[in-house]
Amino acid sequence: MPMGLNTTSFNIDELITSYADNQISDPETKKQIEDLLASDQKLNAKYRSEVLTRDLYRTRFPEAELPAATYQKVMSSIDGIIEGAYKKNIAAPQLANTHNDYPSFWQSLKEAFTEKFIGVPRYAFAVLAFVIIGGLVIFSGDKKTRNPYILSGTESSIMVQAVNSFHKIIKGDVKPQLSSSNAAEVEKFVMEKAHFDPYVPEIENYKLSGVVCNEYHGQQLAHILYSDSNGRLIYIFQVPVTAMQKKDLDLPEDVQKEIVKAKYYMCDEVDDNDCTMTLWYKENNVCASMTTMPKQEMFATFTRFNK
Amino acid sequence: MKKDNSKKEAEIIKQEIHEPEAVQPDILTENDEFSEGEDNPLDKLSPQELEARKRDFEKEAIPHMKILFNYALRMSGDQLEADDLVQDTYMRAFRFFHKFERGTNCKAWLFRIMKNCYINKYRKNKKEPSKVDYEDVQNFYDSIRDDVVDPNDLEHKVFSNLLDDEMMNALNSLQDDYKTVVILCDLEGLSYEEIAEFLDVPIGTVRSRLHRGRKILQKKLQDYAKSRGYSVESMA
Repeated sequence: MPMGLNTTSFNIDELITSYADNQISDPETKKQIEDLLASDQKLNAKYRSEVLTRDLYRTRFPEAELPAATYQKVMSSIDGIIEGAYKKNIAAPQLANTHNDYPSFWQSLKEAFTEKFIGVPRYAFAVLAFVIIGGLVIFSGDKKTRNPYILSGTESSIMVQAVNSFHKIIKGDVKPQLSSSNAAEVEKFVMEKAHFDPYVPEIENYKLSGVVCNEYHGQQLAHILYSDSNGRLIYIFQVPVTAMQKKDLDLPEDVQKEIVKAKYYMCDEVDDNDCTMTLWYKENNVCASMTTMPKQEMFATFTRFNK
Repeated sequence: MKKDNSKKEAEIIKQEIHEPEAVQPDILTENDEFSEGEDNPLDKLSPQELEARKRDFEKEAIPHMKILFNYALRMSGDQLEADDLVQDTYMRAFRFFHKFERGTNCKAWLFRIMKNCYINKYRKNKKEPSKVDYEDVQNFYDSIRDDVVDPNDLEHKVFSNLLDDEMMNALNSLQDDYKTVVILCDLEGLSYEEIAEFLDVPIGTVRSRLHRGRKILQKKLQDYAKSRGYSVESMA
């Protein structure tokens, strides 16, 4: 028996495990194990059986991708911790001083506006913000929304994209590329055209009617349509979450936080038809639905189909 | 040099023989240095220090989220639980980031926090898997292998027909100490050295647990195969 292996069969078995995992660095010990495996059929069978079990697990359970929602949840939690600590830091010294020199409402207001920020009085920024928001309201065309995120959103905003695409579909400017009530067909179509796995839910009282795929700055998008017997629509805009990581498309940070916290973000009055918009993450996609249903009704529908 | 390595092998073997913990592991013990009871250490930091900590944390800890998620997923067997476990781990890690020694292995540090989170929050609520006596498994193997010449082709065919659920159940039936090393080595592909650092145990213990864990898994898989009508006796 070689020196390194001069021990019980119990330990030889465990050394075989090391050998199977290529964790034996000493060539002499390695050679001794190989000789032993060649001469001892019983040991060889144990070795091969162990490798088989290991490889079976390795191939059957490959590494899972980190869900984007998990990442977002962690980052939001950390931001929340920082915010909490920051508030405590700020609040403590302020509370200590309140009884001495608590300013009146008008004093606070005056200070807030006359105090300088990077050398410019703050009221100048307030005027500028007023002009920008006013301009957005005037020039937002057919949006007529009260939602601040859509009002101030640029073309790359998922919310703006969802509103605009929905309007194009309603007006008939965009027709479904595939008319089908078969979810598997729709999924296959999106996989082929847009190269990602879409979420095509079954929606109570609504029938899947078709899908359109297009591209925005190289990012593939899918638009899935449902209708009920009265002709009411539910439209679901979908894009992989990676589009946000690559910065092709974006969502306001507050909306992202709300989605992570509440599992969805819902708002109404997003256009002149008082449509309701719902945003949520599903699997690896961001979904944004639009519907003419009122918020309460959409909430009931959404919680039923998005389980 | 060769002599030194042989010495090492001999030392490892010696360590295995004298390590009672390696024979029958206890359930992971609770040892949480990241206690939530302590005052939040972040409350003492200035906004600038908080921002600096976030930057460091993003650089050091965030890149390991995927492997931690995978470990959590395999340990809990549930995506939602894995999600919560990752979140809890990172929140604690961020709070106690001052305890992390720069230049050391951040992945191992995070892993230890996750292990504690798992024990404290999740493991307590779960039913302990029934203990499998390793000696029984060893005897089983010795008995069925006595006349074996080449069972592997047949074993391969039988095991290949097992369902993912059956394989997962077999993995979940392992005690946590065995399950952890099997997950880290066989599913995450970590080296013994890394696992030893993660678990704060000697390499010999890692090897011992891995060997025993795999043996128990083999036995479980054969039981499943048998219950589905495959003639596992013919493998002997």
